[in-house]
Amino acid sequence: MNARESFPRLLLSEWTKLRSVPRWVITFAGAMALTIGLSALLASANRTDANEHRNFVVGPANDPVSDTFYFVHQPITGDTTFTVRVASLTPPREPNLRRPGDDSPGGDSMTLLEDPSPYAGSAAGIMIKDGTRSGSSYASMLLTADRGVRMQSDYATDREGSASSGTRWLRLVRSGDTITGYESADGTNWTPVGSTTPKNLPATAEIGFYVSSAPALYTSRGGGSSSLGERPTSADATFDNVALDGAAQWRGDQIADQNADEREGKGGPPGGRYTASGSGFVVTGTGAIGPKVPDDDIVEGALIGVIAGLMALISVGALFATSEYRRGMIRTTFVATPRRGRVLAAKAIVLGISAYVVSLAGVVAALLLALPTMKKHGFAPPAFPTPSLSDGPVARALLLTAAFMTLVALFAMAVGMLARRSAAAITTTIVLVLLPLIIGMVLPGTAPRWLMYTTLAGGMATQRAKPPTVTLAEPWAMIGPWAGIAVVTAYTCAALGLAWLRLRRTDA
Amino acid sequence: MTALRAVRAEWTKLRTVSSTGWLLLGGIVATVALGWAITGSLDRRECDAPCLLDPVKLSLAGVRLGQVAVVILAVLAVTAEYATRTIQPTLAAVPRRSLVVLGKLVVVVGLTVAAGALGVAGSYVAAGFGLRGTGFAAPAWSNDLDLRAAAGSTIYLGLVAALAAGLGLLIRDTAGSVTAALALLYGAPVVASFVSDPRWEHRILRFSPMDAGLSIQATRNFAAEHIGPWAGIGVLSAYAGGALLLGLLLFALRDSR
Amino acid sequence: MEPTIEVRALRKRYHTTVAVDGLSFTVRPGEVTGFVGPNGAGKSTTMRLILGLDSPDDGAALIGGQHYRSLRTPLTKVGALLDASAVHPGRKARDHLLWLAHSNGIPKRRVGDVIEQVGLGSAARRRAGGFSLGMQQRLGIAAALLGDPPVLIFDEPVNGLDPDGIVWIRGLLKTLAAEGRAVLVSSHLMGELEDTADHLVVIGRGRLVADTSVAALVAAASKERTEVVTAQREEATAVLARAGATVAVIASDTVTVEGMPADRVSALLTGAGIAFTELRRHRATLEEAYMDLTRGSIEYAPEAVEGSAR
Repeated sequence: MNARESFPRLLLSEWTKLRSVPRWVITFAGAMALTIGLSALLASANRTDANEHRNFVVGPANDPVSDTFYFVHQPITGDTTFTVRVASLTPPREPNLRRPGDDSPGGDSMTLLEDPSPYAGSAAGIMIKDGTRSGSSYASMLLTADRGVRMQSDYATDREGSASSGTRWLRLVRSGDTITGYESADGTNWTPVGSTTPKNLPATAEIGFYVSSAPALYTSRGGGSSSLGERPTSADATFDNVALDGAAQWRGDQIADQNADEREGKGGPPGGRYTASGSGFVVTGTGAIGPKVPDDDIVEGALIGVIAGLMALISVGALFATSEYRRGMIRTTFVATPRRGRVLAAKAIVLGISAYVVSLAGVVAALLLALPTMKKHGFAPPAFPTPSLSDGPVARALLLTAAFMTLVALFAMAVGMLARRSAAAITTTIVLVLLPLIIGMVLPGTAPRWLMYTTLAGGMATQRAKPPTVTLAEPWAMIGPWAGIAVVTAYTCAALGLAWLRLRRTDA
Repeated sequence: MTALRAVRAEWTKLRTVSSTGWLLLGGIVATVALGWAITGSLDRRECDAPCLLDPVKLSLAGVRLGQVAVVILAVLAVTAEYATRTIQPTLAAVPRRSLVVLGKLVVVVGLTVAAGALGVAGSYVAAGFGLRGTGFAAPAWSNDLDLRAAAGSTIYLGLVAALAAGLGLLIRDTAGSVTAALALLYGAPVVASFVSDPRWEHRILRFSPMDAGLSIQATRNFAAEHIGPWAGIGVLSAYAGGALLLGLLLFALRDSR
Repeated sequence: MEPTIEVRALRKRYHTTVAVDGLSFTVRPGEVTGFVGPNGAGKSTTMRLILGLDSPDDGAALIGGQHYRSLRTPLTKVGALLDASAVHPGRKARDHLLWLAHSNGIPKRRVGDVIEQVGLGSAARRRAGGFSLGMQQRLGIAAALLGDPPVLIFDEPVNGLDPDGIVWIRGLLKTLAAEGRAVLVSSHLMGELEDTADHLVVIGRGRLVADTSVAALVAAASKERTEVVTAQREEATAVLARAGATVAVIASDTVTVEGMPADRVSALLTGAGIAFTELRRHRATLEEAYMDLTRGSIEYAPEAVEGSAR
């Protein structure tokens, strides 16, 4: 018989250790039950009125979008080429908001929040659109104030052109259903930016030039918590060298969701305007064109129970390490396997696989159980398309959340190896996961984001199926899921490394 | 007389293990340090008019961190007896279970309240430095509401100790009790921030032991609190009392292994 | 209060295991009562029940007629050593005794006294976590003696002690009994108690096997046996067998003879002219008697043996 030490044997021995303590097996089962149970129980604690009180219109793909701007246009039939020079675009007049880092006294105290979205900010551009209804299909070439030249269509496609600002020539060419965008510095040498096929472009479409200026987001602090808001902005642009085959009379229209404004009692759309000046036009516009997905996230909302399941996994992880030090079992372990690094690796692998299986089963079941309830509570299309397990972002959220739970359990194990006391290991881990969330909710501005990048709490970002957003007060919505899992991985690797060093250097 | 002896024995037990002193010291330092860090980051000019920010409440935010030490101390006072099996000599020396629990409770809550008072007072002193130049007024001992916030935070810590000790009696295992106590205290506000229905958020925060208990720290903008100050202390007391009663019952009925 | 321990029809079940099954016996003052049985016989459980650590399903264990849980200052009535490792590793030995003293209002100087008594004087200010098994055992004994109680219970006190320690504890047990205290000492090895105990309670599988004095037990269980070492093995066997003894060969030059006193064996062999180099009279040890008894406890009902009790 071959009694040589082998790693698979070591794994088997650690697995035997793990499964032979009934309390741990029960805790594992409890972790899964808590994840599923709390999620299902609190699914009805989620409610949204995003579909009843819409602040969006429905785009061509049935997604919620924002479509508000000032459009100077005329109908055109069939293939065409439209060229314009944007002579100037003045930056948006910001309504009394403090720039980040501006410490000047007095004035308004709200701090501007940078929105990195390519659909944010101000833009002057040309567009071909399916009529003037808000939310209809379109393709556009645009010069932005600080995001360069871009080509966008149907609120979802965004292509980057040159990074220039100031004066720029823009051109749209229609050939059948395909729209191609070009840009030029001098009107002679043209660079293609991209081609796109808008979903519903009729033979006779509206073509013209426009100005948009997305609302400015700001944070303000009061009452021990920070709040977020938005204020409308407007921008001016001068267009000249307008060249359109078979041009007729230009007409200016404010594109806006009439219904929304009537519901909100604003009495009509906010005003943009245009004036002809010599060979050109000066246009003032306000509003944003782009996706307007509600920030609330179904997947995240359905996974409330993860917090509870995580607690159970943390205690198993810590105990799997610290129980070795009670009653001196670690000596037996090291006499059986003198290569301590391998013992640590085997422990980590066995705990990791077990925790991952339990977590993944827990989050998948939690999502499936919570979804029908959430749908009843307003999380329904069009504001909230029904998620499916095979959607990329949903699958990512589930897999990464299970990975987050697993890594935190491993972190607890590593801290257990270092501290050798379960109370210390469990407390350290729980405090690092939960306290930043609680503190983060009362901190203003970007401080919570910074906390998410530096503590295990960042791992909560894995639960979101939607991109990070600056408009939610929840700290974990401020960083991306991959950043979140990276933070947790770094913590766990560092803790395991330290545990390995300590095992090698100190007596058992 | 026998009750006094039980208290004295528990006091001797607690003061003769080094972890007690370190935990209390760590709890005080953590409380003061976090309060100082948060008050130091405030700026009157960043606060909208009407500015509802409560600098007193924020200067006591360290209690949320410092309570961790209290939880560990109180849990260990019970569960270490099972881990080290000193529960045998303990019960051989004091066979009446209720006296053992009484002794532990008096000592643990007493120590916590003493250390908590130091931490709270330290937080106010630190806030005096932290708030200097921020445009906010530092907490004042002469102000009734500030005094209530300080006394309430101290009472809160004492009740957290009682709750943790009760959980220790119920669960008897250090890891399990610490996890349960921290999950109960920290889990509720995080879950509340996850749910998107404000009525549920209100419900959860109203009956979560930490948020209800700490609503007594508010000195202004009371509309933002989910429960009244003394009602909040009542909610936490109900948790602590429930855990203790159930713990005592099981302690008296179960065999001591 | 008369210092006695009375165990009456005690019964305790853990889940499906019956640990103690209708056990009754009495421990009297002035003598050391040995409490013997194989591992798992129910000795420790009985002691836990006496101390009120666990609750019996049926029956009672009384100290001087009272339930342990009703005692107000139990350490001054009963001293017990159950599990010597039941000390907080971070607490100094002296402090461990100090909190015990406080719990029963025992004066502080007793702590110093008992520490000196068990020979831990130099280690009193060291943390108990670093103690050897023997030192832990001494600390546990000190805790039992702390209240100067008239009743003492020791569970396997010899465990982990070095030979000096064993001699010391045997002396201690005898002294305590001589002072008029009731002393109950458990062991799974009869040999440990042979020279110490005056009285024996033997249990097996939670039931009473024997409740008797040491002398009576030895007498009841022992059969006289003689070992003869001789070069003329076959002749000796023939002579002795003819005289009615049972002879067994245990080595090429050794036989054992049963059913005949040693002096008669000697006379017979000498009379027959058989030379022998050695003749050993062999008395059954307590250990052998105990082995016989506990083997019996597995096969027979205990009542059959109880007939031999006094």
